[in-house]
Amino acid sequence: MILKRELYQRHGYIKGLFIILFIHLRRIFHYFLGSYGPLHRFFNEKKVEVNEKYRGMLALTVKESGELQCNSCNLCQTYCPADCIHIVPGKKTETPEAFEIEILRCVFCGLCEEACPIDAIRHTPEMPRTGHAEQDWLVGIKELAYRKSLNGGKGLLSKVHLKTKRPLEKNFKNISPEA
Amino acid sequence: MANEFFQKLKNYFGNQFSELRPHELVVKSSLESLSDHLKFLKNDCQFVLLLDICGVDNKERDFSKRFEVNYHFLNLEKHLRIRVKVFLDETERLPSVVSLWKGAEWFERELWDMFGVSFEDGPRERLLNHHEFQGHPLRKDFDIENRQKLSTPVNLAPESYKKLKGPPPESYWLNIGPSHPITKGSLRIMVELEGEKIKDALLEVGYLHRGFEKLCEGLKYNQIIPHTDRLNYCSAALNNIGWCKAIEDLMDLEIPERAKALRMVFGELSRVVDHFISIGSMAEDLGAPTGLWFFLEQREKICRLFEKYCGARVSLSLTRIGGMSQDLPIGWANECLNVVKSLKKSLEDVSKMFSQLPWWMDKTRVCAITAKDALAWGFTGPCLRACGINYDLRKVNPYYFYDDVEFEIPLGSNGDVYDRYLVRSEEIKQSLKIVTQVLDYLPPGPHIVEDERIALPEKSLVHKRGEAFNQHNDLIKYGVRPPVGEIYSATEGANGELGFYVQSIGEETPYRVKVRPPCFPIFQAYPEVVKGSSLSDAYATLTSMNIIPGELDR
Repeated sequence: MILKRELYQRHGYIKGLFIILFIHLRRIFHYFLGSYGPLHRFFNEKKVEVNEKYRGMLALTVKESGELQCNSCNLCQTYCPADCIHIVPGKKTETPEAFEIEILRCVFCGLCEEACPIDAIRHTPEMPRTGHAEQDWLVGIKELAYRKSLNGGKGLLSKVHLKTKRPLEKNFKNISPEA
Repeated sequence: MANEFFQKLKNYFGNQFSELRPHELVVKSSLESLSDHLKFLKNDCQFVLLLDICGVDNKERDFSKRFEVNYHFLNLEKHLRIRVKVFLDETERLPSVVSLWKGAEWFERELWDMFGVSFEDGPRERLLNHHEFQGHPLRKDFDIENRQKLSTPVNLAPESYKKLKGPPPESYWLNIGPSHPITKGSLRIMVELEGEKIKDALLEVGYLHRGFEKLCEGLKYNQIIPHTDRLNYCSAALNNIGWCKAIEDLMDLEIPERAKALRMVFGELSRVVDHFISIGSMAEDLGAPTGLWFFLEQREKICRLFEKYCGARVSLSLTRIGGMSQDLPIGWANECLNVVKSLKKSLEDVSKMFSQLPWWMDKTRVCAITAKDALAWGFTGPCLRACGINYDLRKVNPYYFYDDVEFEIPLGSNGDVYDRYLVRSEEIKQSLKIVTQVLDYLPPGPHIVEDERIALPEKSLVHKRGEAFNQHNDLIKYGVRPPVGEIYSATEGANGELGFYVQSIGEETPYRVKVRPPCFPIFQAYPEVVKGSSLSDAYATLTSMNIIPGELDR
């Protein structure tokens, strides 16, 4: 499609001035009429709504008893494209001893959420936080699972309820495909 | 017709010629006969467009010669891509092809920069890396951990321009960038001004070089998707689609119909966003900042749609190899149709505000480039179509359902800034048309292939720790494994042809990835385009070309 010839023809200066004035006056009129949404949206009187799916600050979920859901299977650490998750597995239990995320490295892609088989790590709609120094950006279990915005410090409840308490590796070998 | 053409190629090259895939031909050439072969391809076979020059280091493989250089050319009439392969050692020198294709200069500089391949007609300067940098980073034996201290900035203009004493010179040098309101990232331009006229322009790129290609060599195929978001950050979905399509073509994988349709929807919406930003920032730089706010307001509606689908507004990462990351949420398609409707309405206003107004035309009917020059430099996309060449991959080689939807390719006639603006603004309307058509007939079915070697199984099955858990575990740990082979796959990006050249050796990570960014050849032509025009025209040209350094420098 060759572009229309009339597009290459120009208006006069005075006609052009009136076209622009007309468009702007009409838009101003519509703003006050509320055609582009409620007026207070344009004066920041109401908080902007963030979708619940928004991939913001990461959170670790907890079991009903209050301990971490994570069983240090390291899948998220392997799958992370930015290499920002560091997990130290626990010595006696399967709950991790340390779970650190470098927020500065994180690209908020959502792959860790996809990799986790037991819904232990999740993106929340919170915005990633601000900080002063480098240590503020290295986030540990306390901040990830029990910060105040998550159920008032109790933590988010995981959707998957695990019954077994045995370590992952053993359980994984015993089960046959039919079971 | 095509057979005659193939016969001609077969007669000339003999058994060195082969057809790898439809539209993708391969010729194995040798160092001595390379320039003759390339001359034959250009003059007798109309391979007029140089797409890419890509090096590969074969140190980790048992090849007799260390380096491999792949030239990619395009025949616009027959829509054929040819790859010319040359093998050479560290001591051997490659003949230069700048005399045949003007746009080869930067590709050759990049080849020297990244691999240390030297040329017959003297040494090259570095392009993407700093001029004090030691070593060639894409060689397999390069030590990444060894950090180098680089301090002195490169001196683009001749030393004499710094003189303060003496009589005032006739011309003087003006520095634009590395960070300047007209650039969408960091790049540097030095212009030589004589009064208001530009006599010469020098470019420096590489400020945003993050080593994308080196990074890919250590990542699994699915892990690369979030990194492709950062190539052209205005239209992330198109990069995701380009990358996934390349890998799927390499694996000969047919993705479900619903995934194809969804990719078309998100790709076109992304193209619209990219054109919004391009035209809006062009309006701002030309002294009409209201235009930018008009477009950002419209863009916000699409960003909200993206957020509702995948949870991100700009860096989407919405595809996976074999399909899409998730299915559409309930009610999304309806909402999208409403948004498209309102966009169409408000775009009428915007086009009235710019298209035929005398002020806008005064400022933008400058800096034209002819179609012949544009081809020689390797232009693709809206910048090429503004010169009047009808070449759009969506029409010529319709991938997905572009065959079944109705849309037109807008073509300019003069190749100036105004034409680039018109082509882009018309493309927005066509893209919205495609979105409505696809959403009207959205096919049902799965959003990703049901193959345990490629796609993750459903989450509710994984929880039970059965077979699905095994598959999930394996796929995340070992990743997708395409067969041994190589591919150059191209899609129509927002700025032109976005190509991915991938070499796989059957492992979980690619052996070599090369991106063919559409901006790269376009920006190379910038000095020639702006020569003789005024400084404000140079600003208009830069924004109308839509140079995005994230893609330019990789």
